[in-house]
Amino acid sequence: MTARMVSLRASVLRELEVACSQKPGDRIGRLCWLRDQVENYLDRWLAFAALGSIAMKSLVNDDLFVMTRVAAEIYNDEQSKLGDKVKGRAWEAFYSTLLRLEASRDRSLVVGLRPALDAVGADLHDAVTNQASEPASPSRGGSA
Amino acid sequence: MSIRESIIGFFDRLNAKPGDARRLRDGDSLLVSVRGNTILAHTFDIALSHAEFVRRSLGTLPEGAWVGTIRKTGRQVIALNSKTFYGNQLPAPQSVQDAIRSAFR
Repeated sequence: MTARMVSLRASVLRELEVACSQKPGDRIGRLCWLRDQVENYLDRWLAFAALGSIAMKSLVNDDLFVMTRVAAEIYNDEQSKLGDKVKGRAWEAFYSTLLRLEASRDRSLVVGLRPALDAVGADLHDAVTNQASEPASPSRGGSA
Repeated sequence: MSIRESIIGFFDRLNAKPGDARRLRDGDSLLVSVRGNTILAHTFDIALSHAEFVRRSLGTLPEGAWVGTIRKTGRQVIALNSKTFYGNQLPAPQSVQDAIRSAFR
């Protein structure tokens, strides 16, 4: 991991803690925040990729792509803590496309990234809805 | 970073004077705010949203100021609009590109 990656990872983690400080136990909320950041970083990268004049070798090594990768790795870490509470198939499709793009530098893969990330948003929406409809767990040590 | 880039960077820092354009490497990206010919603020912390960058560096975006992302591409620095502030990520106006290129190369 390069110094730049370490620095960007630390920054995302710092912002994540600030953004989610009101609800520290809300793991799905953390995933939602991270997905929004991945979208933000990816959109910046896609805008430069859309110029068409930048070589893929340069694009997959630039700061904006690294930023997207770093945030995606943090998302992976957070999702693994949730078990099966959030469907992971859409995320796996997005993440694997990102990795394949990095390895192959195949420009045709770029168009699939945004729709794949949108599908992750739909899965998270379902998870939030399910979480809201779950009955509250019985409190421990309540009055008998 | 190649040995050549390291050597160039070393001599750039050694010879830098206040006001000199800062040399970027291919792929380096920053968030920047510009008004007229002046760089109001910039950060290498691209983990920040443009809104958060403006809030922390300027409070609010001053009248007539521009904000967006810049990237070194080959020999040129390219500036794209902030989607948050302008609803698109098109190339920034020429006056902004010129201001950016006089500060970063």
